[in-house]
Amino acid sequence: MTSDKRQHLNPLSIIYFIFRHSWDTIFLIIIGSGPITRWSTSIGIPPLFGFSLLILLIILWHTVRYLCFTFEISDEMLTINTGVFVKKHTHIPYSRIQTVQHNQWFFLVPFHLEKLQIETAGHDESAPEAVLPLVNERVREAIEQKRTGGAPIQPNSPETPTEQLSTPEDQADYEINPHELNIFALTSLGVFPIIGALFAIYGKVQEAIPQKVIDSVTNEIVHQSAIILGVVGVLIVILSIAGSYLNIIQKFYKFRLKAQKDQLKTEQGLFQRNSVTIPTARIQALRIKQNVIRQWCHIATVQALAASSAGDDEKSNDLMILPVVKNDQVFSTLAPFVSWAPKKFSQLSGLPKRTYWYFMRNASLFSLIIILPCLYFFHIWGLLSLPALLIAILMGWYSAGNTGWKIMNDQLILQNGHYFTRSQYVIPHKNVQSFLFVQSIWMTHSKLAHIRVNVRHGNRNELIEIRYLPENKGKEIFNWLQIR
Amino acid sequence: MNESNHLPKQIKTVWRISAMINTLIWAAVGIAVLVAHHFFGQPWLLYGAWIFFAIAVIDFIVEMGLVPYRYSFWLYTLTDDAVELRSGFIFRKLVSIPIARVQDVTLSAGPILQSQKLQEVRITTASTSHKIDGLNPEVGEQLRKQIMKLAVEVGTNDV
Repeated sequence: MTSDKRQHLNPLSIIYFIFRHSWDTIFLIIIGSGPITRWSTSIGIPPLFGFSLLILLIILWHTVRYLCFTFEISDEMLTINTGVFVKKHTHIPYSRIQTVQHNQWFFLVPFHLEKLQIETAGHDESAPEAVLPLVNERVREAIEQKRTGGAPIQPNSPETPTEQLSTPEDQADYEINPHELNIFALTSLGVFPIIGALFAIYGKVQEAIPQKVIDSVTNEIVHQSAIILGVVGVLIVILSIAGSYLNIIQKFYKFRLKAQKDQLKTEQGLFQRNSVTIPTARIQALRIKQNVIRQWCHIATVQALAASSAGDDEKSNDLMILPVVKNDQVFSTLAPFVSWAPKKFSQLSGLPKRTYWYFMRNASLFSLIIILPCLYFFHIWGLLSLPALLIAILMGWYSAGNTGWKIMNDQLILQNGHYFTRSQYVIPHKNVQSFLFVQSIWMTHSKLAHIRVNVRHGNRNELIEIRYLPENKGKEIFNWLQIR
Repeated sequence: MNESNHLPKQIKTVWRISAMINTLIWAAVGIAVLVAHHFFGQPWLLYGAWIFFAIAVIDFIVEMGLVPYRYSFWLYTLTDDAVELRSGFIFRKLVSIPIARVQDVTLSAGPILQSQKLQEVRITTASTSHKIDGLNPEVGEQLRKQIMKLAVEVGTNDV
């Protein structure tokens, strides 16, 4: 690959541009339909011709965009030039790259084309700094080579040498266990929102059916309605479980994690193969996450918090390292990939039983937001919302029971529980951006405090909080964090 | 400089002026709605206007009333390697920002702050941003120097 030459994307990306802006196009056509019809009839050409002209213009526009979109892989940096009228040049030095992410749809595999996204730690925009919508796989190889290759990558010497030494040179490789993935998919709590959505759709569909139809049908089925409702309910539940199950399976299909020289590479997906590369030194913290069902099944998820929004999900920016792994193998599996990770689960300090009350009280107060309006609007039927209170109390109990902390060498381990999901964070001291010690005036009497720790995650801040821990323990953590 | 400091006394004036300006803005919106009512004659616009006036008055009372409270419980400490901000009496909050993590410090002053010879200081880390409402320029300058010094000692703190 000749290096200092401007290159274009693959010409197919014109289709990509049009596809991505298809809403604009449809909007334009709708807006333009009136004027175009009038104008074409007035000068005596068929309206269809006018529309073809408009479409031609749109295609032409995107072609111009394509022609103006160039990139250049030079020795020090990647340069991307975009814009038709307003020219924009983005320069990204290879050493500043946080993650390289590439997506490949299965139908693009034979053409060796993929979408490439490159991110730095800059947090001006929520979008990646560089997106090359459709390029040959060779481009990525060239960039990666420049990034890892002979170029002077490490200007920040004081903290890197130790990490470089301890990073495993042998290339570790991990592939997801299909059996575990199966359990993982079955134990997702993600089905609940889907169930909710399907019920909502069902409700809407029912509303949409004309009253007449319902009336005529109702008489026949009024005595069967209970059965029908039951069947529909069961169907909805089965459909949502199946949907969520298949979605997870296709997303994490053949998930692979590879350790290459100083960096991690993940690969996943059935229809769209998604791959993320991240330097190990850029990982800000680790999160070990399991919902309550997965706790019973003894499986956990390991995610990396990094200063880049590459991840499996556009919203959460969670970068999966191990989507599913048995509890007792978490750290042994992790060790070859993240050198600073603890060697095993450590015994965390927990909350004294008397503080459980605060969690349960707060959760109950929140549940009142649902219960009180229910009681107000539905009177006696509103009592049906009371189970929300029970769930809230259980949730509070769960959160309290799963709160834990420990200071280990130069790492802080914090664990909390939210919505029946336990998250354990392993945070190296140097990655704590700022930290808070929070107390209400009543808590000074009960000698309790909250500790909040801020860590960079994606393009934003991740606030990790453990609540209602004893004041002296809180001070201990705070003082430890203060050590330079 | 290791003991906790109150913000400079002039900040109370700044807060009071800004409370007044806020009140004036609410009142101006109220007047605008009144004018609209005069022209369009919709009765609900009159209620809207009164709501805005009520907000203006309540906002004024609350903000003015809170000035002494804010002043006495808002403390900052500048140690050798951290900035600590302490606020609140009922809900107490102690933030510590290690200077080694600071990415940049922004000093700024609008017309009100300028009239009191103060500067607003915003300290930004890789993930969070913290604001000190007003500091004497000398303190701001000292903070800036300290951060520069530590930045050179520690080397760039990479995310």
